[in-house]
Amino acid sequence: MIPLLDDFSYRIKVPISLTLAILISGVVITGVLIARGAEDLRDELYDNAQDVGGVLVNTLVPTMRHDDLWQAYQILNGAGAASETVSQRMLVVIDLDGLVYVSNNPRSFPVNSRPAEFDPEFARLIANIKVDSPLTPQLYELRDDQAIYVTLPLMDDGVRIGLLIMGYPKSLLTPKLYELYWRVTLSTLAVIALLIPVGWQIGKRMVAPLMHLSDSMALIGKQPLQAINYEIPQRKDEIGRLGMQFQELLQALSEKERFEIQMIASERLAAIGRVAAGVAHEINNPLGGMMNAINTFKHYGQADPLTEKTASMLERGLEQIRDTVSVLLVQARPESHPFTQKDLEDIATLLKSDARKAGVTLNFSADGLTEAPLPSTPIRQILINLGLNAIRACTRGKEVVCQVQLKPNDLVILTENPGAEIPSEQMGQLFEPFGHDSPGGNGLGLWVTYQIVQQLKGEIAVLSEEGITRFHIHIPISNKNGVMADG
Amino acid sequence: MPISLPDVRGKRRAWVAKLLAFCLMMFTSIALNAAEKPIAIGLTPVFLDEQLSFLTRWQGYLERKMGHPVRFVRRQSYREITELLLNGELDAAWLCGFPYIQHRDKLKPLAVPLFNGEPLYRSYLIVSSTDTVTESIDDLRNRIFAFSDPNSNSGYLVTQAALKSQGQSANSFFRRSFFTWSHRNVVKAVADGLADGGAVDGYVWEALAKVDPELTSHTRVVQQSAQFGFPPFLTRTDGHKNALALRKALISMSADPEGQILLRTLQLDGFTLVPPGLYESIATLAEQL
Repeated sequence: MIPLLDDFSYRIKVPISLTLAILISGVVITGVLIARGAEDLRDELYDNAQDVGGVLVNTLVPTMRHDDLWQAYQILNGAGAASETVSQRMLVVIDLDGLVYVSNNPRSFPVNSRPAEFDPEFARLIANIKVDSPLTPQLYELRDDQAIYVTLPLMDDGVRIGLLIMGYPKSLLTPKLYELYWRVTLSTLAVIALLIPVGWQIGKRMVAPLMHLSDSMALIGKQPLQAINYEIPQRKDEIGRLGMQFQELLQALSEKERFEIQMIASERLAAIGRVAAGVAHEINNPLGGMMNAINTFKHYGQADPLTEKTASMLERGLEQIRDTVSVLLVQARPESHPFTQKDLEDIATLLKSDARKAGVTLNFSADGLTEAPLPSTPIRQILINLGLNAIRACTRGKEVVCQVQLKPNDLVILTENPGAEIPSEQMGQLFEPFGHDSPGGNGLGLWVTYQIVQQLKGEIAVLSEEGITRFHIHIPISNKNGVMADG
Repeated sequence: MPISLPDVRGKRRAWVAKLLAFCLMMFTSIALNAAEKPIAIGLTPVFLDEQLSFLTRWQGYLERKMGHPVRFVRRQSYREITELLLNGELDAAWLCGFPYIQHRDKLKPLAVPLFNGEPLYRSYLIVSSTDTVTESIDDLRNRIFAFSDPNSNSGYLVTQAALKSQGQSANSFFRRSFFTWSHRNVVKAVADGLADGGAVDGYVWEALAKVDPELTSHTRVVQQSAQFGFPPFLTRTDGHKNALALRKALISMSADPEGQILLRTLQLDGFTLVPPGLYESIATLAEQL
């Protein structure tokens, strides 16, 4: 291929290649047809010469035997007058001495003349004729000659008495050839004209999936992966395989992207957790001092009622700070006793009373769970937080599902409630402290839950769509999470 | 027909003698056939005998005038027609003066056409119109020459006699000579270039110049011979009544409106009785050979 063509799009290259193939085929077919046609014309001419020659020889021989020149001339003229094309045919009878006995054109080939002397073409022809040429017509087509010649010996009773030479001007064939060229070329052109749009369309269709793939690939990095709308071509050829691989690549890329987003989110949450814990620690120490001081003051101090009242106010404020800080300082401390059926019953009782107040039903199930080797306090905290959230978000009169399942390797907690979906813009900050409006809550429930799950090396997932919000938690059962004996 | 009965009585007796050996029933039909047998007239290319529609009209005209069927007979050469006439298979024939001279003892002229008012014509020496050099027969030495018929006066005898007077003959003088068997073909041979020169009946050439001027325009008349007696209608010296009827019909053509139209096609003025000594000049030529 021409290097320049390498830069062209396949959108153009393939149809052009097909078109070129069609054109080349057309030219080749035209050439073959024309060559074949020219051969047919020559065969036709030879057949004509054979037919006419056969008749002429039979009628000429008797006239020559009687030396009736006029009769011979009439015969040649009669044979030549059939049609305009044939009348251009040259008929010459040469005797054994090489002299013209008679011809149908006496002006060019006068009687008794020696044509080899004045017609170089004839001289060449006669030089080419073999003395004992066979009795069948012989075709002589010499390149520089103006005519194609067919010769036939004149035999009288087995004795050669002369030679009939039939000359067909090549110019006779020219218009026929010209017509043949035209007909063949025109029909080929018509076929090409018909095939090229078809070829162009086929080329375009062939290239379309490749174009689609190429265009889709070009979008990577420019548009979000979800926006790339790539349809896998339903085919098993190279393009189909490329498409499959591209689809896989797209999936891997979006997986990676999602993973990265999760990483960023969890890292951020971890950072927030560290800050919160740090701040809580720094607050806890002076807070403990302040609360001790107030306690001591209330026990031993002689205070007027106003001071008493102020001290109580301070104490309540400090207690609120302590509560908040203690929540921020989430720590799933391993505790002495594992999570048991008793814990479940407590939680169920607690949640049911809230559900009744909220006017929703609670479907609480923990089939077959008697004891899980996990610390009870954080698990209770998770269940209560998620359960209360679900009851709060549930549409009145509907059902909240709360399931706890113990599997060989992990504990699975599922809460589900019908109700308003969590807006997608809130999803990003769902597990951050105060990350969302929280009617009736302190805005820390999900953050606490998240922190506990993280500390237990578990996973938390949320799905909120089609009017259902669902939280899914896996907590692996391992030695590390296991209950310490009397720790 | 009763008219012919007395004349053929002698012959019929011989016929009857032969027929008696066969069947009596045949007698009537043969007799009727003999009675109805058409007058056979031989034609030669002394005129433009190729106009078939004219021949049909002329035949019809003669039948009506003579009250007897007429049959035209044509052959390739003068010799064949002459022989048919001598054999008695023809009642009359339009032949050249040369065969008449050759068979003067057995043949007699019935009538002769009038061409330009006279019973005379000439022989033309013609060459191709592209040949602007030739002025006489001498310029055609060693060339190709076309004659019409070896028994034609204008198409052979005149030229041959001229050559003879120079001690030559057609075979020695020309490279090659040939017969075309009609005057028209001589003109065509010369016009086509098959022959360099030709000897042709002057009357035929002139008539052809009117009928087919394209053909004659390719030829040029080089020389005109002296005048000779026009080709006559001949019959045998023992010719019977039919021949006389034919003579009457021919001679009366110029007086008849329909005959005049036919004569116009023939480009002749009429037919007349043959003046004595009309063919003596041809006889003189023939003697030279």
